[in-house]
Amino acid sequence: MNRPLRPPARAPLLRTLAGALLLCPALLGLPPQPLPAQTTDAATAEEIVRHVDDLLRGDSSHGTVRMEVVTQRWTRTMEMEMWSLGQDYSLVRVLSPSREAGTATLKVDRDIWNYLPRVDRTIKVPGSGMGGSWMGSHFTYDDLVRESSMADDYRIEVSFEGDRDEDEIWEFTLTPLPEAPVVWGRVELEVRKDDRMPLRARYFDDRGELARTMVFARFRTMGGRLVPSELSMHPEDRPGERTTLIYDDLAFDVGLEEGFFSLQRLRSGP
Amino acid sequence: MTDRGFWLRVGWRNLGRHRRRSIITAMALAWGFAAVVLFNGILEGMGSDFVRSGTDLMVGQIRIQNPDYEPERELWDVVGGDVGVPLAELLDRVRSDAAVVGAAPRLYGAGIIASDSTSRGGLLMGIRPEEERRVTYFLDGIVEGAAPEAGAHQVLLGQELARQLRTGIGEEVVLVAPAADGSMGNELFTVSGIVRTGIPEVDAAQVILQLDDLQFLVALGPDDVHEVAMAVRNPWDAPEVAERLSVGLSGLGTNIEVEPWTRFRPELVEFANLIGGMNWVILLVIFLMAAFGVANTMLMGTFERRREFAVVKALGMKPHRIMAMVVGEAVVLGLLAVAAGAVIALPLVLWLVHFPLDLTPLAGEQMFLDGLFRFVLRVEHSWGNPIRAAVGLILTATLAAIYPALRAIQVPAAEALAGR
Repeated sequence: MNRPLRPPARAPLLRTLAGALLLCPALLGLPPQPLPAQTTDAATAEEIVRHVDDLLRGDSSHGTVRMEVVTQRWTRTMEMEMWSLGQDYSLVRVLSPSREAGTATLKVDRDIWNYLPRVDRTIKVPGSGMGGSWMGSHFTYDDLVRESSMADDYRIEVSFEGDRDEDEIWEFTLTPLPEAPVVWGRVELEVRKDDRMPLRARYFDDRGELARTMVFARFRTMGGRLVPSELSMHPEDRPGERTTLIYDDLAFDVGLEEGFFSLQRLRSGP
Repeated sequence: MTDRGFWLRVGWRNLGRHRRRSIITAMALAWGFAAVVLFNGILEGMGSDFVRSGTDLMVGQIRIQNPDYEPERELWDVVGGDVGVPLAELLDRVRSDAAVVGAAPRLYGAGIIASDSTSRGGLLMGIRPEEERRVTYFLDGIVEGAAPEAGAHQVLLGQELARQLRTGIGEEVVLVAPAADGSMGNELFTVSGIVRTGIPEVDAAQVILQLDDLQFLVALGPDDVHEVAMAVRNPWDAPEVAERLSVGLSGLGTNIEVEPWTRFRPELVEFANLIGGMNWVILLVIFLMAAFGVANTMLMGTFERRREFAVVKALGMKPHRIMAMVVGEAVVLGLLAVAAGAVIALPLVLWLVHFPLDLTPLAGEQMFLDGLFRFVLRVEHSWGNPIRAAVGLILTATLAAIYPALRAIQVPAAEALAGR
């Protein structure tokens, strides 16, 4: 099998962008459940991971998000409005800065289109362009369309349970199942015990080296659900750099239909 | 008895005793010599063609880059780094070197190119076509239309890319590329031409535009380039010229690295070395065969002349003189062979130097080491190889005569004279 030497940037936990930005609105925070007894068995571990997984899946959503991209060369913030339906449909439109306002991205299934107001053209991102950066962030287009499930694609083990950084947590180590369509060699996921919020996910490549870290913060109730309203992705090969998504406003079950996510909508806005 | 030509004269006379046998042996050696000279020349020509096709097509023989640019190829790692460098002055300085034939500034990028119907990933290359033509010849591969013109917002597309985009000359395409400030540059362009370099990766992805158009698209300044590619008169002088330019540019700024092709295309150097090695192998194989031919002839000669050696021995001739007599014969044979070989090889070599035999219709064009290689039997003109071959041949003949000479010395005088 032809495996890329370096896995392309990709985070199954929150499907990075698709998950983090486009699907996070759908973070279906299940109400905190009674904590299980002292020890966590395999079945419980799987249930918790599935819960974190399910934070991403859900019905329709609508919200605004700020994306901060910090690189060694420049720092910029973009404001965006977004809509999503399940995992397959999402639409993001840039609100500011004004130079890029109106630029929009539509994802339908595994295809992505960009609308560029400056040249007034809609462009489908080609297969060979999927490794490119999305809006200058550390996320690639591939990150937007890749799908996998932590609960279904990985073997889950509790590798740590107890206090860490003043939080009572579980640390799950996820190793991919033989046939799973994932690029990571291993994922370490930290989940806070009292409300089952993910705190940190660390992604390791095939050689066991840390490739990227996702940090979850600012847990807020939005649209009636407790969600991490800030997600930061730290690529290991670019020390000091990060892309952070901060949700300002989020609503769930807003009743969007598949037909909403059309090329026409991409061009003209809702 | 002391003059140096004596033993050679004796050798010459001895060769005349069996004129036919001597001529046949000399001809065998002569053909060997001619073959070595010709094959070496062809190999040298091939090696030289490989080096040229590996550098002249696109990369050039010397390049100036920011030392951090490779291998990540980050947009902002331009020549001169953050401080920058006055491009016009840099170009003036390198062009003032007599060995530099041309210098072409370039900017690279990656992005998406979209036609009306579809889109593809594209490798963007910003050039100044008129300057590029003095360094590389990929623009000669334009099969339709022309190179992008200044101020016209035009692009030249690889043939396969244009086919995949289902676009053609005069049609509009959009380029989208991540810019150095983190924004997403996007601009409309018109297709000015289609190019075929023969390098599949290039033809399927290359988008060539004017340097300043690409600088604008990716939000870089007019002096920002990733590379200055240069051609020099003799590719093998490149390391020396690069060294000289490096010193000459040191005052201009930091983050300026001048590299010859021998450093950024080391596989071409290895290939050239391989060819050098093959030359020696050919030399060895052919002369090994020649050595046995000479040894055989000389051995027969000494057996026939047993009585003669016995006589001169009985008359008191010293063994080393007998040896000199036999070896001298072999040396004369070698000289004859070189002369005859030169007569055979010279017209062939001259013919292939001036009228290279183009085997492309038979073999087709091949990509090798990222260069487009045509199978042309072209001889590289040099004196080193024929001289090496001539010296090798005479040495071979001399060495091959040593064993027969030793046998001649050991002839027991009394028994040989007695006819036993």
